[in-house]
Amino acid sequence: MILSLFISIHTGFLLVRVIWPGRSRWEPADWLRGPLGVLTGLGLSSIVAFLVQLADSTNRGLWILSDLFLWAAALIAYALLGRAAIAETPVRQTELWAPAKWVALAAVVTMVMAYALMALPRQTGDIDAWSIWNMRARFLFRGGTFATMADPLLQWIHPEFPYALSALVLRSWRWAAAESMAAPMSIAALFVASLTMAMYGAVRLVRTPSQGFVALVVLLGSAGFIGNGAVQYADFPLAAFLFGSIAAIAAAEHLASPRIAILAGLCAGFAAWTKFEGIFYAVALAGFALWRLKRAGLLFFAGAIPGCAMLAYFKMMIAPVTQASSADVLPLLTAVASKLFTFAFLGWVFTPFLVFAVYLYCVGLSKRKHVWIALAALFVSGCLAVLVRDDNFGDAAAIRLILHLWPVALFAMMVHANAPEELLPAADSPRVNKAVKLRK
Amino acid sequence: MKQKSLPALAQAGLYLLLSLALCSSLSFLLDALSYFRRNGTELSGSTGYIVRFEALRKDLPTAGSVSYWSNADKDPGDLELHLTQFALAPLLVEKSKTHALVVGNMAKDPTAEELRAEGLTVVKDYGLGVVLYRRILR
Repeated sequence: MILSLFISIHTGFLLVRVIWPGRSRWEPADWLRGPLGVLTGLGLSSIVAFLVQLADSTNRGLWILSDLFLWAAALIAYALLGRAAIAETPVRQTELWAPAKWVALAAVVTMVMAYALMALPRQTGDIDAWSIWNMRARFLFRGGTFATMADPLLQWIHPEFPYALSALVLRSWRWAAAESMAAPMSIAALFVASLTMAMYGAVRLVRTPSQGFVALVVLLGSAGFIGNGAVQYADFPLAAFLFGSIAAIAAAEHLASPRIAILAGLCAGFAAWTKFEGIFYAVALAGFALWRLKRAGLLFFAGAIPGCAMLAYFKMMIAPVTQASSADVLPLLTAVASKLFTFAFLGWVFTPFLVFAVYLYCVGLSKRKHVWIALAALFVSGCLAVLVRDDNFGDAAAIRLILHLWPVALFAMMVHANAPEELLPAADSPRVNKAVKLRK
Repeated sequence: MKQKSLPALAQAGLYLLLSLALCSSLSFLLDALSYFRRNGTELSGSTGYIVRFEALRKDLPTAGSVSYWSNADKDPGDLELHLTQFALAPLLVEKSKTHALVVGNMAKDPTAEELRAEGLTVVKDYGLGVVLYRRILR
């Protein structure tokens, strides 16, 4: 099981290095390359697993060989294209605001312990996890078929939902030839770790290291959000793919490296392959990529092909037909607003929006407002998804929408706010002046 | 090298944000610890169902359907039925009286009268409320 995840992640790392080359030794951009590698690896593995399930589900050798084939292809691509490349990441020297680093370290240690305590007693996850994602993996692993799951008795396991997570769990079980709950737990933990690292890496890359640490602390302070990952809900992987896509677009723009848009597309496609809202979000992300990257944004579409093609095949050939529902947008917006103004919103000990407002007032704002536009577009897309498809309208839909978009909202705030390095007295800090010039 | 100071207002904003975020993480840790103390030593929820039904699962066919019977006072949203389905997949568990084999998920031991009324006879009692019954054809 561990080997299967290692192969998946390493394949992702190699492919990310092919698309976004860098030095062979560790560099700051690897804080974002690394998590994008995890997301790419997991997304591709889920697609390969699903295809193998369709081809010959009982042949364990085929499961392993297909993954090894993808791994070998990634190794060859890396050998040809990845290692020879020149580093594209500009090195920026800035003085770190030390308290952010130490608080971030404390937050990481705290949340690792809390996560383990939350996850261990819930090995099969909370209700959506066991009743949908792990349930469908079990059916397939134990010899059930897509036709079995289409039985009207089993409507509640949602056989029409995309298969990214179920296929990943199934893949690990096939590799291990055993049904271990360590597989869904490890996959959930990988998504949490990669999103957390991506938040730090993306903010560090497009702003400053201290701002990256502040963003990390704020994300981990949203404890209810992290807890959602611990209980294996699909909203967390979806949020991770959405954030991966936004972070890749930001990196492509910041580094003027159009190829990184392919990674954004890959993540958006995997989001579509994870939950039904994903395809709606992917459209918004494509618009954002085109707006920020102009013609280079077209590479986004190339990246989105694997996930979207898999979804299209699944929907046309396998998924039971479900009726679209329609509802009034007002109750949804009311539910979202009422959730946002909950006092202990997403596990914060005090309403975070007031804290964020005070923080933004104190540190001031930069001119980087564009991520807010992406957030608004994603919100509209999410509302549309709920309105045309959701059968669980109301509070549950509102909280899901918030969970999907929370990392993007924090990223928008962290990109917009002035970073600690920018607030240090300019005359005392020639290295910072150089950094500010670089940014300009 | 001595750390240069941020303006006081910026420091205040950053410390406020960082301290409240860290407090939220710590509060989550305390909640998680308390949850673990209550549930960590025993397998609860869906994981508990897997453990309870594992022996029964091995005695059942791997395809087809079985009926489901429970004498729990209430089962909101058929949660107990769904958990049983989770434990016994890919066998279909049906809340009906149509199949010869009946999976019992019992809150308390049924009386002989209850069994007669349901037309059931015990095949095997697996403990922890898990019982396999056979429907008596009448």
